[in-house]
Amino acid sequence: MLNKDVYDVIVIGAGHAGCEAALASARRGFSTMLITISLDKIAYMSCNPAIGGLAKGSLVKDLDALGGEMGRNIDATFIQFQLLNQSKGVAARSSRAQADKYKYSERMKKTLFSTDNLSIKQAIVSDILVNDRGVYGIKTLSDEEYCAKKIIITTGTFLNGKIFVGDKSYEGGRMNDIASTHLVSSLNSLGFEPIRLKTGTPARVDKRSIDFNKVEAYKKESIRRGFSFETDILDDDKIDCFITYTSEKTHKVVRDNTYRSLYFNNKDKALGPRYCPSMEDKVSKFPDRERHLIVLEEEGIDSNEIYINGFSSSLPIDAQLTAYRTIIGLERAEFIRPAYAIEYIAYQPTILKKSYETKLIDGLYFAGQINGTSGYEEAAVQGFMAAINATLSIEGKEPFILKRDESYIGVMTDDLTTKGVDEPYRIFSSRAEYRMRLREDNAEVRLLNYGKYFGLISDKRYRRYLEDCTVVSNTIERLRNTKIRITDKNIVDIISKYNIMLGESITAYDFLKRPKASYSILEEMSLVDTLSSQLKERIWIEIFYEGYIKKEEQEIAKSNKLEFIRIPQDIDYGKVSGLRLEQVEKLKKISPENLGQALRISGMTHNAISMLEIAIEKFKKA
Amino acid sequence: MDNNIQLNNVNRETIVAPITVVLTSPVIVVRISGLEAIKTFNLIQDRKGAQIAHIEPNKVYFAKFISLYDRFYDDVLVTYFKAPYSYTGEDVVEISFHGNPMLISSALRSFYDLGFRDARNGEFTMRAFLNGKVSLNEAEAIQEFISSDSDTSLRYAYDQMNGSVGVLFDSFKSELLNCKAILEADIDFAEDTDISSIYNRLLKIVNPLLVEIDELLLSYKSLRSISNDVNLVIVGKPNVGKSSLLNKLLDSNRAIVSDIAGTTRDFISERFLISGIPVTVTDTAGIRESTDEIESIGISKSLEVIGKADIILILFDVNDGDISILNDKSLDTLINSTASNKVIKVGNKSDLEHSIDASKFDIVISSKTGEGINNLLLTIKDMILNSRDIKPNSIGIVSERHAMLLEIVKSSLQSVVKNIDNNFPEDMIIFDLNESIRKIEDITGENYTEDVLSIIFNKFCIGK
Repeated sequence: MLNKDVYDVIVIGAGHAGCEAALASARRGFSTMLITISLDKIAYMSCNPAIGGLAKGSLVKDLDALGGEMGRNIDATFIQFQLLNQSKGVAARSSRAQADKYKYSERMKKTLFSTDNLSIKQAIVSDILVNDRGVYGIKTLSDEEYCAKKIIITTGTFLNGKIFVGDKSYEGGRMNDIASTHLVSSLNSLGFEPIRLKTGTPARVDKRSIDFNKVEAYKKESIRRGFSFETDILDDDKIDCFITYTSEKTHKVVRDNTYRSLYFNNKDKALGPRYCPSMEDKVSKFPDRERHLIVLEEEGIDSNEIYINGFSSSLPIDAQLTAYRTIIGLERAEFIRPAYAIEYIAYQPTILKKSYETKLIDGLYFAGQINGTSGYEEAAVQGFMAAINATLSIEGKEPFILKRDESYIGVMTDDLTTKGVDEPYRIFSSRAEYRMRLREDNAEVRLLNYGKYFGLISDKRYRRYLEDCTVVSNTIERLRNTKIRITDKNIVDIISKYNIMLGESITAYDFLKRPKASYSILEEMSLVDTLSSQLKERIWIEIFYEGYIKKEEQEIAKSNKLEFIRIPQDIDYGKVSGLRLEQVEKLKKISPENLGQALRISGMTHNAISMLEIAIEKFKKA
Repeated sequence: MDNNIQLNNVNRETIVAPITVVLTSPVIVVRISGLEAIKTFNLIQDRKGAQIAHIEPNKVYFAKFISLYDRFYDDVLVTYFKAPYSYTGEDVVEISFHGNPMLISSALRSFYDLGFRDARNGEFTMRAFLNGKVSLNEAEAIQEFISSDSDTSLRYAYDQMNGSVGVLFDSFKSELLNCKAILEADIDFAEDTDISSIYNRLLKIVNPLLVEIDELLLSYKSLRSISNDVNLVIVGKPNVGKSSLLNKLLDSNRAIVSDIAGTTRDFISERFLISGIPVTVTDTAGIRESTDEIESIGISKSLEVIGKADIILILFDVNDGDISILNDKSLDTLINSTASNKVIKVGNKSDLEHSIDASKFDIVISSKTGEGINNLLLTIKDMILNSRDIKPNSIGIVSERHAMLLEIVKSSLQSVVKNIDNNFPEDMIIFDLNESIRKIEDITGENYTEDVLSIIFNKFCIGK
């Protein structure tokens, strides 16, 4: 049954990647269809009910500056907020918010339904329709056909998902949700080679069965600032999280029952994330640890489900429960849902261009877990980038590719397309070279112009941003010309109150380079205008970190030279002389877009890059 | 939307590198190529010490080169090739120095001070191609000819010697990566660790490392300032292979070698570097008990040379049943009276059938196949270090480039310590650590990528 309408973009899957993709496409004015297996699980948090976290917080802020939805959505539905690493330096800070996962999902659904150009369907996609010019549509299990210029697949863990609990294993995209199996055959027939990955999730425990007197509330004083730059004031926290620990008893139960886990003992098991080990992994890898940290996190205000952070497992349910009940405070724990492991199909992201379009089929884009990543934030930004590039391509424009020095999004995109994955990929601060620049606080400075260009930033917001920039630069200029005189008694009193030593009069600018100095102290001295806490911080960062920021800028300028030398996509690496065979193989597989990316492929040398540069020149002259 | 702008490579950096092998030799030629190559003239004076007003292209100037870095000077030949009439098609200056690697080190440092950087392997040729000076085929032929993976020939000289620098810098790097892993684990997993305990752990690694680097740099400096060469004398009966051993040591064929006893009629002296230390090797004449006048002169000269030697290398033929040292009693007596820590007994021609027990020698080699030569070099090096009281680590640095990079490592680590002192945040500490790791990698020529995450996952139980 062929539907006559031709959509610009069809997005398959309504998880975190799918929602951002559909919204970006529709908001840019392109007719868009979003197809999902279950309308009741839109932007659902299958695992940890939280947004942000280390480096992930930065992804969300960057997405917000580009015009994505995730930041606004969490700001409206969070129940607890934290700024992690507050004391570890501005380049290490990350926002994290505990979500009410039902409200989060509900708000996203509402947003989707109130967006123009966007139609939403519940169906199971069985086939990707392709002709010699690339992709042209999709077919559902019930034989409906829809045509589109571009297709974005964001199927998460649903592709041939297989759930493991103890000695049992069954098909499923998520506990109690059906897996998508037909689509895999369709992709196989198009020539895509699947890889298998694994992830896991802990049990959810009934709140009423936990003894909260025995556990410790986990709450920190924190600078409170929304993920979205449009959020003026963040609500107060609605809940606490709690900390407890496993014990030797827990570890013994886990050790004694590990033999009963089908997944753990499978010699051919798919690779799970090293950064998110199951309790079986923790116990076997770190036998000397006396205890492991467990955090109790609420899943929603109106729910009794408590997420037991730190205890994912594929043990049989009876063993899980015995083990959970050895944890302090959980002695009488009742499961609402058990922990489980899930294996699913993904595709090596080296099959992607940096635009997230597959190299194999024109017009077909992959985003999210299907690319071997993990995490809502990683998925969301990929969905967004895929949609931007799909729509730019319809407009006949060049793809939008963020560089490693522009955003953690650029770092992730480059890592994925250059190196591929051998475990579910998560963003880390340590993956980025230029962390002084990739801070959370300056996301707008780095990216808002792009968002504006895409038409995803309101005029009001953009004007506010420009005004902020003017205030910051004017203020910094003024600070250079403002003297702090140690002859002034009032000033001496204030600086000694803050334990700051000044041997001589200095400018306010130099003052801010001192440890313990801050713009607020300058306000107290009545030397400067009063500013919002955001702007105060921005000014302080620019001054306090000036030397480091400048040094990094130089690094970036130096390393960017190679990034600007593009490699023609039809170059024949086999004919480039001086390359070793394995280098040729890798270059063919990855087909890097520029020399900088080529150099990051493992096994590449400066010599090989020189040879490539020669070949590129020859190619251009030919 | 300037993501995909393509730039032409017009603003290339100016590059510099020796284009002959940096071993002690009559002449070492250094080439500078690029827009700023003519800045080199600032370092050139005429013989009276005056700046040369105008250096014309394609003429050879006999001049004084004065190092910016430590004011050493050398009489050099300078030639300027003006773009596009040069090898690379850019402005090129070529300077022929006297063949002392130490001078070259100092000169290179002056060039770095001018903002030039090391040329990568084949980079001159690549520029020649890019500027249309050589055809692709020529360029590729030249490129492939230069097959070594190391950056400069300085490195080459070093790599020949042994892998010690690699081992040393690898150990620095792994210490620094450990520091980084401690911080990154704290940042990437936000475990609630006490910052002062983290900083203390860092200091426990960084402070000793700083001491080590400091000693390394100091002893490198004192190494550079050794004015007298180490005197190494090769003695042995005729035709035991002294000349071919000398050649093997020099890795060239400057001495005449033949199978007829007594071909080497006079002393051959050559200089070369062992781990950055200049060594003069003297090959004594093939000495026989003979009435031959030249040979008799040889013997008395031999006595003199042996008397001055820091190290005496006695060469034997492992196939010769008679293992007396020489056929001359006075020489034998002199050698026998020399302290044993100055003497190395070497059995040569191990490639032929042995008739003598190898344990009679300190080392058995074959100057023909090269077998045992590395061992011999190591033994010589140990002796030199013992005799000069030089820390064995200083063997790590053989080039000025290494020393400079190591100085940056040092200052980054000093800044780590200072920032910890000020209780400055971890992002700053990581920045300086990264800088120091990058510089170590510039020395060793490799990149870390996933190393840190692997360390974190292996050492720390991560993930809630």
